[in-house]
Amino acid sequence: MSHRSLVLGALGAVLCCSASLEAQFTTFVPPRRDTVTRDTLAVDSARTVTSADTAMRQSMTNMKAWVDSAANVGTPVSSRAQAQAGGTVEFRDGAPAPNTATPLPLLLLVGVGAIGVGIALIRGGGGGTA
Amino acid sequence: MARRRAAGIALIALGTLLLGSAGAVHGRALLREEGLRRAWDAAEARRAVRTARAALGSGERAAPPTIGEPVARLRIPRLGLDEIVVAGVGDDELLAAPGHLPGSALPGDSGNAVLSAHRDRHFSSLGALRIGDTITTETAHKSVVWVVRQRRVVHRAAPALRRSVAPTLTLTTCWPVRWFGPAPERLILTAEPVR
Repeated sequence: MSHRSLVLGALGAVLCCSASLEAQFTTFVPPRRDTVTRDTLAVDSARTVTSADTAMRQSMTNMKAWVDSAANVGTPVSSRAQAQAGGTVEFRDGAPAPNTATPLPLLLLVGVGAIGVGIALIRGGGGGTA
Repeated sequence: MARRRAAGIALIALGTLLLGSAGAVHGRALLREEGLRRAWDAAEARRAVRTARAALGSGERAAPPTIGEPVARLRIPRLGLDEIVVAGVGDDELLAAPGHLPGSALPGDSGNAVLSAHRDRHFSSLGALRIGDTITTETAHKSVVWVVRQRRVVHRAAPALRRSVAPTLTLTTCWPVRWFGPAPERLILTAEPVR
Protein backbone atom coordinates (compact mmCIF):
# COMPACT_ATOMS: atom_id res chain seq x y z
CA MET A 1 0.00 0.00 0.00
CA SER A 2 2.79 2.37 0.97
CA HIS A 3 4.62 1.39 -2.16
CA ARG A 4 1.63 2.25 -4.25
CA SER A 5 1.25 5.63 -2.63
CA LEU A 6 4.93 6.32 -3.26
CA VAL A 7 4.55 5.57 -6.94
CA LEU A 8 1.42 7.69 -7.26
CA GLY A 9 3.14 10.55 -5.42
CA ALA A 10 6.18 10.40 -7.68
CA LEU A 11 3.99 10.39 -10.77
CA GLY A 12 2.02 13.38 -9.50
CA ALA A 13 5.22 15.29 -8.73
CA VAL A 14 6.63 14.64 -12.19
CA LEU A 15 3.42 15.79 -13.85
CA CYS A 16 3.17 18.91 -11.74
CA CYS A 17 6.79 19.90 -12.20
CA SER A 18 6.96 19.11 -15.87
CA ALA A 19 5.13 22.30 -16.85
CA SER A 20 7.40 24.53 -14.80
CA LEU A 21 10.53 22.73 -15.97
CA GLU A 22 9.26 22.74 -19.59
CA ALA A 23 9.99 19.07 -19.77
CA GLN A 24 8.77 17.19 -22.83
CA PHE A 25 7.41 13.71 -22.82
CA THR A 26 8.13 12.25 -26.17
CA THR A 27 7.63 8.92 -27.70
CA PHE A 28 8.77 7.26 -30.88
CA VAL A 29 6.47 8.02 -33.73
CA PRO A 30 7.36 5.99 -36.83
CA PRO A 31 7.47 8.07 -40.01
CA ARG A 32 4.48 7.68 -42.30
CA ARG A 33 5.00 5.41 -45.20
CA ASP A 34 5.55 7.37 -48.33
CA THR A 35 2.33 6.26 -50.00
CA VAL A 36 2.04 9.41 -52.04
CA THR A 37 5.31 8.75 -53.79
CA ARG A 38 4.42 5.12 -54.43
CA ASP A 39 0.98 6.08 -55.75
CA THR A 40 2.54 8.66 -57.97
CA LEU A 41 4.94 6.06 -59.31
CA ALA A 42 2.06 3.66 -59.99
CA VAL A 43 0.10 6.36 -61.79
CA ASP A 44 3.13 7.29 -63.85
CA SER A 45 3.69 3.66 -64.72
CA ALA A 46 0.05 3.20 -65.73
CA ARG A 47 0.22 6.33 -67.85
CA THR A 48 3.30 4.99 -69.60
CA VAL A 49 1.57 1.66 -70.33
CA THR A 50 -1.58 3.41 -71.52
CA SER A 51 0.32 5.68 -73.83
CA ALA A 52 2.21 2.68 -75.21
CA ASP A 53 -1.07 0.81 -75.75
CA THR A 54 -2.59 3.83 -77.44
CA ALA A 55 0.41 4.16 -79.71
CA MET A 56 0.20 0.43 -80.53
CA ARG A 57 -3.53 0.65 -81.19
CA GLN A 58 -3.03 3.69 -83.37
CA SER A 59 -0.30 1.88 -85.25
CA MET A 60 -2.49 -1.21 -85.74
CA THR A 61 -5.44 0.93 -86.85
CA ASN A 62 -3.20 2.61 -89.36
CA MET A 63 -1.95 -0.76 -90.57
CA LYS A 64 -5.52 -2.04 -91.00
CA ALA A 65 -6.49 1.14 -92.87
CA TRP A 66 -3.40 0.76 -95.01
CA VAL A 67 -4.19 -2.88 -95.82
CA ASP A 68 -7.80 -2.00 -96.60
CA SER A 69 -6.79 0.86 -98.84
CA ALA A 70 -4.16 -1.30 -100.55
CA ALA A 71 -6.80 -3.95 -101.22
CA ASN A 72 -9.18 -1.20 -102.32
CA VAL A 73 -12.12 -2.58 -100.37
CA GLY A 74 -14.46 -1.32 -97.74
CA THR A 75 -15.45 -4.68 -96.32
CA PRO A 76 -14.06 -5.85 -93.00
CA VAL A 77 -10.80 -7.76 -93.23
CA SER A 78 -12.18 -10.85 -91.47
CA SER A 79 -15.18 -11.33 -93.76
CA ARG A 80 -13.03 -10.62 -96.79
CA ALA A 81 -10.53 -13.26 -95.76
CA GLN A 82 -13.34 -15.74 -95.18
CA ALA A 83 -14.87 -14.92 -98.53
CA GLN A 84 -11.51 -15.44 -100.21
CA ALA A 85 -11.29 -18.84 -98.57
CA GLY A 86 -14.73 -19.68 -99.95
CA GLY A 87 -16.28 -19.19 -96.56
CA THR A 88 -19.02 -16.64 -97.13
CA VAL A 89 -20.70 -16.09 -93.79
CA GLU A 90 -22.99 -13.19 -94.58
CA PHE A 91 -25.20 -12.38 -97.52
CA ARG A 92 -24.29 -9.58 -99.87
CA ASP A 93 -25.02 -9.00 -103.51
CA GLY A 94 -22.49 -10.93 -105.57
CA ALA A 95 -21.15 -13.03 -102.71
CA PRO A 96 -19.88 -16.53 -103.49
CA ALA A 97 -21.80 -19.46 -102.04
CA PRO A 98 -20.67 -20.65 -98.59
CA ASN A 99 -18.10 -23.40 -98.25
CA THR A 100 -19.95 -26.62 -97.48
CA ALA A 101 -17.24 -29.27 -97.68
CA THR A 102 -16.00 -30.90 -94.48
CA PRO A 103 -12.86 -32.91 -93.76
CA LEU A 104 -14.88 -35.34 -91.62
CA PRO A 105 -15.25 -38.16 -94.21
CA LEU A 106 -11.55 -37.84 -95.04
CA LEU A 107 -10.68 -38.18 -91.35
CA LEU A 108 -12.81 -41.33 -91.16
CA LEU A 109 -11.15 -42.77 -94.27
CA VAL A 110 -7.63 -42.01 -93.05
CA GLY A 111 -8.47 -43.41 -89.62
CA VAL A 112 -9.82 -46.68 -91.02
CA GLY A 113 -6.87 -46.90 -93.38
CA ALA A 114 -4.34 -46.35 -90.61
CA ILE A 115 -5.93 -49.02 -88.46
CA GLY A 116 -5.99 -51.44 -91.39
CA VAL A 117 -2.35 -50.85 -92.24
CA GLY A 118 -1.41 -51.09 -88.58
CA ILE A 119 -3.14 -54.46 -88.19
CA ALA A 120 -1.50 -55.70 -91.40
CA LEU A 121 1.93 -54.66 -90.11
CA ILE A 122 1.43 -56.41 -86.78
CA ARG A 123 0.07 -59.58 -88.39
CA GLY A 124 2.85 -59.57 -90.96
CA GLY A 125 5.42 -59.25 -88.19
CA GLY A 126 3.77 -62.03 -86.19
CA GLY A 127 3.62 -64.32 -89.23
CA GLY A 128 7.35 -63.92 -89.79
CA THR A 129 8.23 -65.06 -86.31
CA ALA A 130 5.82 -67.99 -86.23
CA MET B 1 10.37 -57.12 -86.63
CA ALA B 2 9.92 -55.15 -83.45
CA ARG B 3 10.06 -51.98 -85.51
CA ARG B 4 7.20 -53.21 -87.72
CA ARG B 5 5.16 -54.06 -84.68
CA ALA B 6 5.81 -50.66 -83.14
CA ALA B 7 4.84 -48.95 -86.40
CA GLY B 8 1.68 -51.04 -86.54
CA ILE B 9 0.72 -50.13 -82.99
CA ALA B 10 1.41 -46.45 -83.72
CA LEU B 11 -0.77 -46.56 -86.83
CA ILE B 12 -3.60 -48.27 -84.97
CA ALA B 13 -3.36 -45.63 -82.24
CA LEU B 14 -3.40 -42.85 -84.83
CA GLY B 15 -6.36 -44.38 -86.64
CA THR B 16 -8.27 -44.83 -83.41
CA LEU B 17 -7.57 -41.21 -82.52
CA LEU B 18 -8.82 -39.99 -85.91
CA LEU B 19 -11.92 -42.18 -85.79
CA GLY B 20 -12.60 -41.08 -82.25
CA SER B 21 -12.33 -37.39 -83.03
CA ALA B 22 -14.46 -37.71 -86.16
CA GLY B 23 -17.00 -39.75 -84.23
CA ALA B 24 -17.08 -37.17 -81.46
CA VAL B 25 -17.73 -34.36 -83.94
CA HIS B 26 -20.43 -36.41 -85.63
CA GLY B 27 -22.04 -37.34 -82.32
CA ARG B 28 -22.02 -33.73 -81.19
CA ALA B 29 -23.66 -32.74 -84.48
CA LEU B 30 -26.38 -35.36 -84.01
CA LEU B 31 -27.08 -34.14 -80.50
CA ARG B 32 -27.24 -30.57 -81.76
CA GLU B 33 -29.60 -31.63 -84.55
CA GLU B 34 -31.90 -33.26 -82.04
CA GLY B 35 -31.74 -30.15 -79.88
CA LEU B 36 -32.69 -28.02 -82.88
CA ARG B 37 -35.75 -30.16 -83.53
CA ARG B 38 -36.85 -29.76 -79.93
CA ALA B 39 -36.20 -26.02 -80.11
CA TRP B 40 -38.25 -25.81 -83.30
CA ASP B 41 -41.16 -27.62 -81.65
CA ALA B 42 -40.96 -25.25 -78.70
CA ALA B 43 -40.84 -22.28 -81.05
CA GLU B 44 -43.94 -23.57 -82.82
CA ALA B 45 -45.76 -23.66 -79.52
CA ARG B 46 -44.67 -20.11 -78.77
CA ARG B 47 -45.79 -19.07 -82.24
CA ALA B 48 -49.23 -20.47 -81.59
CA VAL B 49 -49.47 -18.34 -78.46
CA ARG B 50 -48.17 -15.30 -80.36
CA THR B 51 -50.70 -15.85 -83.13
CA ALA B 52 -53.47 -16.03 -80.58
CA ARG B 53 -52.25 -12.81 -78.96
CA ALA B 54 -52.03 -11.11 -82.33
CA ALA B 55 -55.59 -12.14 -83.03
CA LEU B 56 -56.53 -10.43 -79.80
CA GLY B 57 -54.82 -7.23 -80.95
CA SER B 58 -51.55 -7.33 -79.00
CA GLY B 59 -49.25 -8.17 -81.87
CA GLU B 60 -45.48 -8.24 -81.30
CA ARG B 61 -42.69 -8.21 -83.85
CA ALA B 62 -40.37 -11.20 -83.91
CA ALA B 63 -36.72 -10.43 -83.18
CA PRO B 64 -34.20 -11.23 -85.93
CA PRO B 65 -32.79 -14.74 -85.52
CA THR B 66 -29.50 -15.17 -83.73
CA ILE B 67 -26.77 -17.52 -84.93
CA GLY B 68 -27.52 -21.11 -83.97
CA GLU B 69 -31.24 -20.55 -83.56
CA PRO B 70 -33.72 -22.60 -85.64
CA VAL B 71 -35.32 -20.33 -88.21
CA ALA B 72 -37.24 -22.55 -90.62
CA ARG B 73 -38.20 -26.03 -91.64
CA LEU B 74 -37.18 -27.29 -95.05
CA ARG B 75 -38.90 -30.15 -96.84
CA ILE B 76 -37.94 -31.56 -100.23
CA PRO B 77 -40.33 -34.42 -101.05
CA ARG B 78 -38.29 -35.80 -103.95
CA LEU B 79 -35.25 -36.26 -101.70
CA GLY B 80 -37.22 -37.29 -98.63
CA LEU B 81 -35.54 -34.42 -96.84
CA ASP B 82 -37.12 -32.85 -93.77
CA GLU B 83 -34.71 -30.67 -91.83
CA ILE B 84 -34.74 -27.79 -89.40
CA VAL B 85 -32.78 -24.83 -90.75
CA VAL B 86 -30.45 -23.04 -88.37
CA ALA B 87 -29.33 -19.41 -88.53
CA GLY B 88 -25.71 -19.14 -89.67
CA VAL B 89 -23.45 -21.07 -92.01
CA GLY B 90 -20.42 -21.58 -89.77
CA ASP B 91 -18.88 -24.99 -89.15
CA ASP B 92 -20.87 -25.57 -85.98
CA GLU B 93 -24.18 -24.69 -87.62
CA LEU B 94 -23.65 -26.68 -90.82
CA LEU B 95 -22.60 -29.79 -88.93
CA ALA B 96 -25.95 -29.76 -87.16
CA ALA B 97 -28.34 -28.61 -89.88
CA PRO B 98 -28.76 -26.72 -93.14
CA GLY B 99 -27.87 -23.09 -92.48
CA HIS B 100 -29.59 -19.85 -93.34
CA LEU B 101 -27.10 -17.28 -94.62
CA PRO B 102 -27.31 -14.26 -92.29
CA GLY B 103 -28.34 -11.10 -94.07
CA SER B 104 -30.42 -12.93 -96.63
CA ALA B 105 -34.21 -12.93 -96.48
CA LEU B 106 -36.10 -15.52 -94.53
CA PRO B 107 -37.85 -18.03 -96.82
CA GLY B 108 -41.10 -16.49 -98.00
CA ASP B 109 -40.13 -12.89 -97.26
CA SER B 110 -39.34 -10.58 -100.15
CA GLY B 111 -35.74 -11.03 -101.17
CA ASN B 112 -33.36 -13.91 -101.70
CA ALA B 113 -33.34 -16.54 -98.97
CA VAL B 114 -30.11 -18.53 -99.08
CA LEU B 115 -29.90 -21.97 -97.45
CA SER B 116 -26.69 -23.98 -97.50
CA ALA B 117 -25.69 -27.40 -96.19
CA HIS B 118 -22.77 -29.81 -96.32
CA ARG B 119 -22.53 -32.02 -99.38
CA ASP B 120 -21.74 -35.01 -97.18
CA ARG B 121 -24.57 -34.42 -94.71
CA HIS B 122 -27.94 -32.81 -95.20
CA PHE B 123 -27.57 -31.91 -98.88
CA SER B 124 -25.83 -35.12 -99.91
CA SER B 125 -28.62 -35.85 -102.37
CA LEU B 126 -29.23 -32.29 -103.55
CA GLY B 127 -27.68 -33.17 -106.90
CA ALA B 128 -30.76 -35.27 -107.65
CA LEU B 129 -33.07 -32.25 -107.47
CA ARG B 130 -34.29 -31.14 -110.89
CA ILE B 131 -36.01 -28.14 -112.38
CA GLY B 132 -39.71 -28.37 -111.64
CA ASP B 133 -39.30 -30.16 -108.31
CA THR B 134 -41.04 -28.66 -105.32
CA ILE B 135 -39.67 -27.50 -102.01
CA THR B 136 -41.62 -26.48 -98.93
CA THR B 137 -40.39 -24.02 -96.34
CA GLU B 138 -42.01 -23.09 -93.11
CA THR B 139 -40.98 -20.12 -90.98
CA ALA B 140 -42.47 -18.47 -87.94
CA HIS B 141 -45.05 -16.63 -89.98
CA LYS B 142 -45.15 -18.17 -93.43
CA SER B 143 -45.36 -21.51 -95.15
CA VAL B 144 -44.39 -21.46 -98.81
CA VAL B 145 -44.25 -24.03 -101.59
CA TRP B 146 -41.47 -23.38 -104.05
CA VAL B 147 -40.69 -24.76 -107.47
CA VAL B 148 -37.10 -25.13 -108.69
CA ARG B 149 -36.55 -22.81 -111.68
CA GLN B 150 -32.79 -22.85 -112.14
CA ARG B 151 -29.97 -25.29 -111.54
CA ARG B 152 -26.37 -24.30 -112.14
CA VAL B 153 -22.84 -25.22 -111.14
CA VAL B 154 -20.45 -22.32 -110.65
CA HIS B 155 -16.88 -21.85 -109.53
CA ARG B 156 -16.58 -21.53 -105.76
CA ALA B 157 -15.42 -17.90 -106.02
CA ALA B 158 -18.07 -16.90 -108.54
CA PRO B 159 -20.53 -14.21 -107.40
CA ALA B 160 -23.39 -16.68 -107.25
CA LEU B 161 -25.65 -15.01 -104.72
CA ARG B 162 -27.72 -12.10 -105.94
CA ARG B 163 -30.07 -9.75 -104.21
CA SER B 164 -33.66 -9.93 -105.44
CA VAL B 165 -36.84 -8.07 -104.73
CA ALA B 166 -39.26 -10.92 -105.29
CA PRO B 167 -39.25 -13.85 -102.86
CA THR B 168 -36.58 -16.29 -104.01
CA LEU B 169 -35.14 -19.41 -102.45
CA THR B 170 -31.54 -20.40 -103.16
CA LEU B 171 -30.10 -23.73 -102.05
CA THR B 172 -26.35 -24.20 -102.24
CA THR B 173 -23.88 -26.96 -101.54
CA CYS B 174 -20.41 -27.94 -102.67
CA TRP B 175 -19.93 -29.56 -106.04
CA PRO B 176 -19.24 -32.26 -106.98
CA VAL B 177 -21.53 -33.83 -104.38
CA ARG B 178 -19.31 -36.59 -103.01
CA TRP B 179 -17.77 -37.60 -99.74
CA PHE B 180 -14.11 -36.99 -100.44
CA GLY B 181 -11.89 -34.71 -102.43
CA PRO B 182 -11.78 -31.02 -103.19
CA ALA B 183 -14.87 -28.97 -103.85
CA PRO B 184 -13.87 -26.44 -106.48
CA GLU B 185 -17.45 -25.63 -107.47
CA ARG B 186 -20.86 -24.93 -105.98
CA LEU B 187 -24.27 -26.32 -106.91
CA ILE B 188 -26.81 -23.51 -106.90
CA LEU B 189 -30.54 -24.20 -107.10
CA THR B 190 -32.94 -21.31 -107.37
CA ALA B 191 -36.66 -21.64 -106.67
CA GLU B 192 -39.65 -19.36 -106.91
CA PRO B 193 -42.84 -19.55 -104.89
CA VAL B 194 -45.73 -21.38 -106.48
CA ARG B 195 -48.35 -18.82 -107.52
